[in-house]
Amino acid sequence: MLRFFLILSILGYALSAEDNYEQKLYESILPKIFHKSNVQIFINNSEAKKVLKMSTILTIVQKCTDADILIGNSFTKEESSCQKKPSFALDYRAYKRSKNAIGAFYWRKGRPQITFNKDAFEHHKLTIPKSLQKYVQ
Amino acid sequence: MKKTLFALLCSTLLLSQEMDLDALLNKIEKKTDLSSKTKLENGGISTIYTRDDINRMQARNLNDILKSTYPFGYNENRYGLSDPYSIGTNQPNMSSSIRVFIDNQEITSGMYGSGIILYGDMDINFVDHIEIYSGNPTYEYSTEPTFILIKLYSKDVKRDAGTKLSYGIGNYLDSHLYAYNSQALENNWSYFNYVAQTDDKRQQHKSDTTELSRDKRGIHIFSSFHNDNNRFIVDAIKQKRDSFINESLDATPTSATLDNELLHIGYDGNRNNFRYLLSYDYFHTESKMSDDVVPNPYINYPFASLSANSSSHIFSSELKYDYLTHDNKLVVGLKYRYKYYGYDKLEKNALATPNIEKKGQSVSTLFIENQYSLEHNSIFTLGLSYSQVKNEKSIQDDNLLMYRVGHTYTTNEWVIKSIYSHIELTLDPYLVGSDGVYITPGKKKITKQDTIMENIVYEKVNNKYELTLSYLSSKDQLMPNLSNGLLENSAKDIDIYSTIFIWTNYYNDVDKLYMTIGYNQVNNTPIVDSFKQYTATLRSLNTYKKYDIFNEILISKDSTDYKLYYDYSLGIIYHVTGDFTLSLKGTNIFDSAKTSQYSRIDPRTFQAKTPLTISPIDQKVVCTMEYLF
Repeated sequence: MLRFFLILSILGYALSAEDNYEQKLYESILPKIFHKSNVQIFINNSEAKKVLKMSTILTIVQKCTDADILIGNSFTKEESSCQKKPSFALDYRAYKRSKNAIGAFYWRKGRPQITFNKDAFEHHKLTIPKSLQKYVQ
Repeated sequence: MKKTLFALLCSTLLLSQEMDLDALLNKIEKKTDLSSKTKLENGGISTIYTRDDINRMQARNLNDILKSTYPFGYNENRYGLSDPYSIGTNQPNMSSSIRVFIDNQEITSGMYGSGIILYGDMDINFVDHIEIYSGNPTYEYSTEPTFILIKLYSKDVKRDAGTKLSYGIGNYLDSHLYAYNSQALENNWSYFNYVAQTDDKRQQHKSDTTELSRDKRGIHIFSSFHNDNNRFIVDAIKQKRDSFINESLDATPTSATLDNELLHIGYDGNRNNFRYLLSYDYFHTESKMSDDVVPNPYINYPFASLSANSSSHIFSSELKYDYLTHDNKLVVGLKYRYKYYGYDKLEKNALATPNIEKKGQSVSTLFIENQYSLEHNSIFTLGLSYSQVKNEKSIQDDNLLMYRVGHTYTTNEWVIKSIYSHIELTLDPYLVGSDGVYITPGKKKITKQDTIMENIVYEKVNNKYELTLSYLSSKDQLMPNLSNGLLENSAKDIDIYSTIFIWTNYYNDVDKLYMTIGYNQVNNTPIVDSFKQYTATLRSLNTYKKYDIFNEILISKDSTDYKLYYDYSLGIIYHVTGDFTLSLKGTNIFDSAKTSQYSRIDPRTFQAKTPLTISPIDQKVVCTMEYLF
């Protein structure tokens, strides 16, 4: 019985993730950057929250202090200790403005784009995985 | 066993997550393509141009899209204005049943019935994607009878935040400058502002020794301010055009100009199950023409000089209610439109026409449309629309009854649509009271068009095959009288048989090949008993490293001369950086695109001369640079 539920839940996950390519995108990036199978994320953007709430690889935390990375455009309203954490922007301007933004996922000319900032990676003592090198700006 | 199965499933999942990032970005782009969200699956037979199609085709103006669109293609009239149904006579617009919408609001003209005359060759850099519905589509949108519905969806802050500048120059020293800016504001509101300045010099043509010009210069401003439930739109156009042949009888005007101004201000919104709209359209034209002919003083014709200024104001309103149950969608709507229009000045051979006065036309429409799901994959659609058209100071008042019945059947691989529709059309305002100028005297009968369409789509893996068959019978169609060129109800029913086969092959995630073969036959036209037309399209869109490559050939042959016409276009976009692109596009490169005929009459003998044959598509090359910041 346990086996049946296990299979069902895994298959359910697989099917739900099938079309959620944005979720897949984050899931294929963040574990590689943090070398963890489960990455704690703090999100202050409602659309991104909707996209990532079903993820079993990324865990959405309520307090930014518990997070490995912050996802959103501005974190000035969060606790001061969070302001130094690495972040991932959802807007090109926010990405350019923030020295903590290690990368960004945004739309430009009607196409989705992904980019990473080498300096921000070094600042947070992180290394850019080889497979993501081509997206470094 | 449990461990093995678990390990197997986990490894499958991990493998699926190892999908290449570029492939994932492509999947995201396709899945969130806005056209897939706005397409009206049961609204009619549709042709969709996605954002990606428009970009890679380098479609700068709407005619770059219309020229290959089923079932009408693109054409221009004697004034150099877009008029797909023009047959070369001197009526300013024969295509009023083609309606143009930006988002949910119609851009229209009080005099000429539809905004297609200006929008047909309008810059579309503010447009995200385009949907074109044919065969008397859903009544939800247009207040007035519609056979073709062109919906332009403006760009959105979610995909186009920031500022873009685009400058292009062409081989006739024509140039364009486009700029837009879009930002998100508080409380989910956002704005999108766009401005285009164009100096559109075009290919010149000769009629005898007279050079005919369709150049146009102008400015176009579009602004949208919206959130999820409300949208304000302002669209303004100011143009100075050379008006090609204008009303020159022998197609040799010594000068011909046409200045246009258009303003659209509209609001549409929705709350609970109600949708509502209020809009105002203003359209002003100033036409001047001079010709080296000697007018007959008794009939004051032909025109040695003609000066006509006209303007129109249109107020539109609508209220729609959606009633949704588990397997049924009912839409009921009320629409009201009032047009106040007429000539401000009309001088023929320097003689002012006395007692010109403005007139009004009101169109009140009630419609009901129901979609019922017979099965989870089978939808039955029934629509009924009743319009009352009242013309002030005219006997031409008409009641128009229209209806459509449709059925859509879908499986994973098949979509089969069957549509029967009945549409009724009355005179465009500019024709009302134009007895002896554009129409023969007397009240005109309503034109009644019955259409049967069958659309079969089969899609599997990377291939999509589509076959559309249609039969249209038009009773009392307005057609020109051969002796005087004036419109009158045709004595014979005009029958149109059309078929088109479309094959789309997505040969990888980003590249596609698009091919069509079509046949149209029009029976009982005033000029020939039967007109036959054969068309074919081959288009390929490819991306190689930093290059987007576009190739298109449109082939056309018809029974007028059985000559083979082909319009070959080639475009290359080079993405220098993510923010900067350079592009080059050649259109009608071999100057052999389909031509249109324009009649010519000797002003002294009134005998017909050989018609002019000129293509509405120019041979041209444009180089463009775009910068995003």
